[in-house]
Amino acid sequence: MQEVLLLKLGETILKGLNRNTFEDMLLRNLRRRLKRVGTYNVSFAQSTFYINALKNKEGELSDIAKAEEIADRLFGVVTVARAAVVEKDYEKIAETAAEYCAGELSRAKTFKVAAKRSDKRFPMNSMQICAELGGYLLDKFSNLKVDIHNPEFIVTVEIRDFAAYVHCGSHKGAGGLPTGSSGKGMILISGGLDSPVAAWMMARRGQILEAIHFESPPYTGPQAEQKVVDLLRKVSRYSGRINLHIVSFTEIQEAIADKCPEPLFTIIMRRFMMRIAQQLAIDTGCECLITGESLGQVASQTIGALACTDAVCEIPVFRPLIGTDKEEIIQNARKLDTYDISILPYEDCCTVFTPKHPKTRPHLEEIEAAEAALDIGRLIESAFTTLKKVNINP
Amino acid sequence: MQKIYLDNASTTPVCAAALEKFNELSRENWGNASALHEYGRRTAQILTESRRIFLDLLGDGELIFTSGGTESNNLALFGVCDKHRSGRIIITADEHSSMANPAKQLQSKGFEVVFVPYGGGEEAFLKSFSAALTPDTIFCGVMAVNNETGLIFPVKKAAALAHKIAPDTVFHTDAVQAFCKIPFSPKALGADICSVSGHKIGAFQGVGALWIRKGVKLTPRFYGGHQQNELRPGTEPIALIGAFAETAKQMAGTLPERTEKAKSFFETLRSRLFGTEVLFNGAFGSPFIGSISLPKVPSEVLMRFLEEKGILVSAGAACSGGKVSPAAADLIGENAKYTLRVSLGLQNTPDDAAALAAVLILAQERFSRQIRT
Repeated sequence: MQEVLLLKLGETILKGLNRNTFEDMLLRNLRRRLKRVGTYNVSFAQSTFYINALKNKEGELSDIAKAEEIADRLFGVVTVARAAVVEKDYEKIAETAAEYCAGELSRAKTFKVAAKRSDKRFPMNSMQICAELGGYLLDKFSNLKVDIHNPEFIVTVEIRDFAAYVHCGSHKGAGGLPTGSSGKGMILISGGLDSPVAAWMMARRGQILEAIHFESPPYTGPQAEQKVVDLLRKVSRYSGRINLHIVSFTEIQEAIADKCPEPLFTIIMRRFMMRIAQQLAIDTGCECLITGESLGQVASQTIGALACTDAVCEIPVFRPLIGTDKEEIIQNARKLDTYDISILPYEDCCTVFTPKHPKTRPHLEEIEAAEAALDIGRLIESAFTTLKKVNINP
Repeated sequence: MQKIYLDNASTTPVCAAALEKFNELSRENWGNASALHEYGRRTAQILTESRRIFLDLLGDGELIFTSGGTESNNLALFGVCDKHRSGRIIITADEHSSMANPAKQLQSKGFEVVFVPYGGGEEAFLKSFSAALTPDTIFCGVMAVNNETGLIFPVKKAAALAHKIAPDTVFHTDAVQAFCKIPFSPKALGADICSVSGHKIGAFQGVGALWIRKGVKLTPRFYGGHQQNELRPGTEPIALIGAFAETAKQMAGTLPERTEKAKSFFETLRSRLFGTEVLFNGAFGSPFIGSISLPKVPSEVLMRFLEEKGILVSAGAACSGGKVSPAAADLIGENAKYTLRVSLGLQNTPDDAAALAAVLILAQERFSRQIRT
C-alpha cells in the first residue's frame, strides 16, 4: 500500500501577500532536511504539502517514518498525517480504510468517520461518504460504536485532486513559522535548562540561530562544552544547523573578581557577556540577542538587574521565558528532550565566582562606577582572541 | 607534549612484558584450551602455568580468571549470597563501587547490609566492624587498599574477628590496589576469597582473577561451558591471561625496588612543596598512592590546571566521578573536596615529582585570589 505524508500549514496561510514567500521557504526547508534521510518527492497543492517516498539510487524505497520525524519537527507545519493513497473509487476507499486503520479499529470502542471532498467531481458528498463508510466499518468491526461527539479516533477520508487519502487522524506539528522567515538571532547558551528552551521558542518564530557559549577554563571543563553541543544538537533538530561560538571568559571573570565589589560580580559579568554576544551578533548578521532569563528566577534576573544588563545592548534582547515558571520550562525541556542533558552536574561559567550576597536592586551608576576599574575594551578584545566555532547539525 | 601520567590507580599503561607475552601468545598459542587437539592442549598448558604463577603469589587455592575487578567482586558477593534467600552482609563504607553497588542490589532484595565506616583509624574501624558482626553473618568484605586514598585496611585482624564471631561467614578482600603493590597474600591474611585485576599492574584491561581458598564453594554468575570448574564459563582469553601472569610475576619480583622509587617520588614531592600553600597529605598506606590539596581550589579545577600543563591526575577515584568518598572525608577532613589523587606506575620518576611540584607552585599563584578569600 502506498503511503504519503500530508502536512498542513499554520499561520503561514494568514500571511496575505507574503504567503508565497513563506510557502517557498517552508518547501525549501523541507526538501533540504528530507535529503539527509532519503529520497522523497514533495509537492504542494491546496495548502498541503505531500511527501512521497521514492527509491534511492540503489533501488531501495526510502523510509516514510524518517520523513515523518523530519515533518514533525518542521516549523510552519501545524498538523501531520500519514495516510494511505487510494484511487478515487468508493469501494476501494472502504476496503483500504478497513485494512489501513485495522489496528485502531479493532482496539477502540468508539469512532467516527470524517470526510473532506475538495474534488467536487467525486460522485458522493462528504455526508454520504461518512454515512456509507461508517456503516461498512461497523459491520466489519463488531467492537465499535459510532460517537460523533467524542470518538476515540477518527477515520479520515480526503478526496483531493489526484487521489483519495485515508488516515486515522492527524497529529500536531511543530507549529510556528518557517525557519528563516524572521531573520537570525544570537542565543546565549549556558548548559542549564532555560537557554535551550528559549532558543527553541525563538526558532519556532522563524529565527535562524547562532549561539554563543562562555567557558572558563580551568574553572570549567571540556564536559561543560560538550553538554552545550549536545543541547544545541537537540534544538537543531527543529531549528536546523546552528553555529556555536565559544569564548573564554576566564580573564574577564578574574579581572572582575580582582577589581569589583563582590555583590556586583554577576551583573557585571552579564554585561560583559551581552557586550561580547552583541558584537558577535552584529558580525554574524544577527538582529537580536536571545536569553533564557525568567523574571525573578535569580538575582541577575530582577527588573533592576535586567535593566542594567540591557543598558549595554543596542539591538533587541528577546527573553521568551520572561513570564514562565520553572515548571513550564521543565515541561518544554522534556518535550525538546534536553532535560536529561541539562541536569548533568558540570559547572558552567556562571557558577564560578558566584557572590554570596548578590545585589538584587543594582543601580546603573554604581555598576558603571565599579566597571571603571576595568579596561573593558581590552578585556573584550582579548576574549575575542579565544573565539572557537563549532557547527552543530541535527 | 609528552604528558606525565599520575593516575595509575585508575589504569596503567601496558608494560613491555605484557605486550610481548600478548603478541607471542596471539601469534603462537591462540588455541581453545578446551579443544582436545595439540593447539588446545598447548593453550591448556599455558593456562595451568599462568594459574600456578598466581597461586604461588596469592597462596594455595583455586583461581578463576575473570574480566577484571568488577566481575571478580560480583562473583565473590553473589557467588556466596545466591545460596541464601536473605542474610547479613558486612562491608566497609569505602569499598569500590563494584562491591558497594552489588551489595546495595542485594539490600533491595531483602538482605541486611551493613556499611562499616573507617572512622578515625584502625582501632575505631575494628571496633565498629566487630560490633556489626553477628554469628549468622554470611559475607564480609574488607578491601585491602582503598583506591582513592591508598589506605591499608587491617584485613588480617578483621578476618580473624569475622571467623571468630561468625564461623560460617565467607570473608572477601578486594586486593585490586594491593596486588603487586604491597606485600600481600590473602591466604596469609586469613581471607577466603580475593579479587585482583590486570590493568592496575601493567597488564591489559579486560582481565582479572578471583582467588578462592580451598573448600569455599561459590555459585556461578552465569552458565555455559564447563570451563574453570563451571564457575566462570567461557573460552579463556589466553593471551590476556598469559600476559597478566607474566606481568604479575615480574611486578611481584620488583616490588621492593618499585616501592623505594615510589617513596623517593613522594619524598621529592614533599620536600619541594615544603613551605608552600599546597598540602601534601602523604601516602597513607600504599606507597603508590598519595594525595595533595590546594585548599579552596576545587579538585576539578586544579586537575584541569594540571592537565593544561601536561600532568594527568585524578580528582578522586575516576570510577566515582570525582565525588568525595567517605575514606577521603575521614582521612583528609575538610580539605577532601580540594584533594587530588597522585598514583604512581612503573614509568614515574622523582623528576616527575619535581615537575608536579613546580606546576603546583604555579597553581598556587594562579589561584591566589581563591586562596586569599
